[in-house]
Amino acid sequence: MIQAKCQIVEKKQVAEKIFVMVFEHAVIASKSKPGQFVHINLGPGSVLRRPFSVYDTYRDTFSILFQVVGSGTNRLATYRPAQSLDVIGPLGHGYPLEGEKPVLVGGGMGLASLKLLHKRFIDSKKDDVRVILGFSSNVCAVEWPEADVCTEDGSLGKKGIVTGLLNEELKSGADAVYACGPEAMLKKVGDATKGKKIPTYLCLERYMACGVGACLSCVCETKTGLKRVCREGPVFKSDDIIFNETGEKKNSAKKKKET
Amino acid sequence: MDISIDLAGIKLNNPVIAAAGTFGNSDEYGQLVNISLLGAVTTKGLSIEPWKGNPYPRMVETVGGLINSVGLQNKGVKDFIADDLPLLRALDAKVIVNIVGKTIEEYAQVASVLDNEVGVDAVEVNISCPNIKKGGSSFGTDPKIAAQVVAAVKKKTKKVVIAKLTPNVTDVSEVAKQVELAGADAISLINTVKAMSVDADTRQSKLATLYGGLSGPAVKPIALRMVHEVSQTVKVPIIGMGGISNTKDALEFIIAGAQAVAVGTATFNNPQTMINIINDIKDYLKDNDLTLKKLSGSLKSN
Repeated sequence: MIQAKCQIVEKKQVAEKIFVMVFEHAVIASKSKPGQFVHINLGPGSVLRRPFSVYDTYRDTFSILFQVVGSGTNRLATYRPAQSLDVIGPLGHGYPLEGEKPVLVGGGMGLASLKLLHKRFIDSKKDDVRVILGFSSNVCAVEWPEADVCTEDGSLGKKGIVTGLLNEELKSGADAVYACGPEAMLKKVGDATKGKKIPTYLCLERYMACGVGACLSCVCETKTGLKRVCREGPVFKSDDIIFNETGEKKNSAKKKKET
Repeated sequence: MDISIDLAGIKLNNPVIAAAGTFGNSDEYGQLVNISLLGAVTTKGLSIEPWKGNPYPRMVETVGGLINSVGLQNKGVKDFIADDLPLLRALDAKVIVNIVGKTIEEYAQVASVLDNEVGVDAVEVNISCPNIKKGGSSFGTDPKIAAQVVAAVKKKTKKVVIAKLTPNVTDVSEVAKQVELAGADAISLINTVKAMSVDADTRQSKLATLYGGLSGPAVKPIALRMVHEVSQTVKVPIIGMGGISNTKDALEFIIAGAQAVAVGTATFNNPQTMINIINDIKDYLKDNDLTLKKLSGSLKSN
């Protein structure tokens, strides 16, 4: 991990309130692995940084994908190309690349951690990689032509939730599962592969303060004790995570309004 | 320029200290910060047995601050000695170990375990964390009990003993006076201010526990006032903290009566904060033809 001023080289609005922001930094770009994140200082007035998955890397640049939901992302969206932000990254442990027929499952903005993973699977000739994205409604027009999309209200793609599509993939021979999204979804993904000997990796989203393992704000419960999502995660083996109902409920309730 | 200080017999290369709970136990920030350049680092609170802390969510940002309810999750003092202390010994920064307990006896036990450990320069007795039901804040809010904890720790250690005070009291000077009488070699303040944040949509507290402790720029004026009050009451050195985010903030605490300062929440925002303060203090003293000693407690009357 390094801390560096990174210049914004591009800001694209890809859907209502959803942006891709591209930063220039050769070291962060080259060191970032799928599933890792960057911790961004939003400038004066912000007490805490905000963590974002590394969405993509290209040559000397890396990008993030974010939705404007609270004061932090509102402030982030005000920045323009040529301005610079202080970034720490890459942070955390990303996804290991396993399986011949992997399935990537993204819920909402959780898809941000899967784009680079998809690219790496394609790079390593795993052309059977499948992508399933779920949204609550037709809000996300992120360009990802390979993805099967579903929405809870049927306004985009198939009507239903991601685990419906995931179960079809599992029936047709998927041999590794990667997922990022709301905790309730992750739990269902974990349940879908439970006992099937299919490696399943889940990327958790948590409120973070330090991002480096010092403050213990972002911990989750695992079979081997409390783990720091920022340091030992954000990617965990599905079998290791113990989902906490209280945390899950509060987390998803809060996500609607804030970050 | 020499900005070293003598803190109750420990020589710090400079007066800037990493505050407990914000800098991990050893080298969590090692890839980003040259820790050896700091005056001292303070570990997270350590107990005699491992503590699990409070449920998630344990942290929420508020305007100008953050409220945490981590609840002193820690691996216990024995694992700390095995895993982290060797890394800390290799640093030039002095090492302050923050200690916690659910009973007075537990505080004394942790102090006793640390007493013969090379590389531990001081213990900071955390009688002020608002996030645990037993001990913590309740010890620190009663001057008599606060003094009993300090006396019990003092009996078990030859290390420098720092008492960390809570702001959640009516008269902080009285607590300071009692812990000094009980043998505290130095006093640090303030710990976090008991606080709350409510989600109007869910009508729930934003923390899994109802309340937490507020830190960050929002608490600075309160901390400054308390440091000044305590400096008027006790003779032992004071480590001032509470919302220090830049050099100006640090200077204000020293002028108000602190000998050293600690930085916590600001490190989350910018891990370089302490290094910047160390460098800028030198410039300030040079420009104003001052020494730290002259500056400390130099508040002029209006």
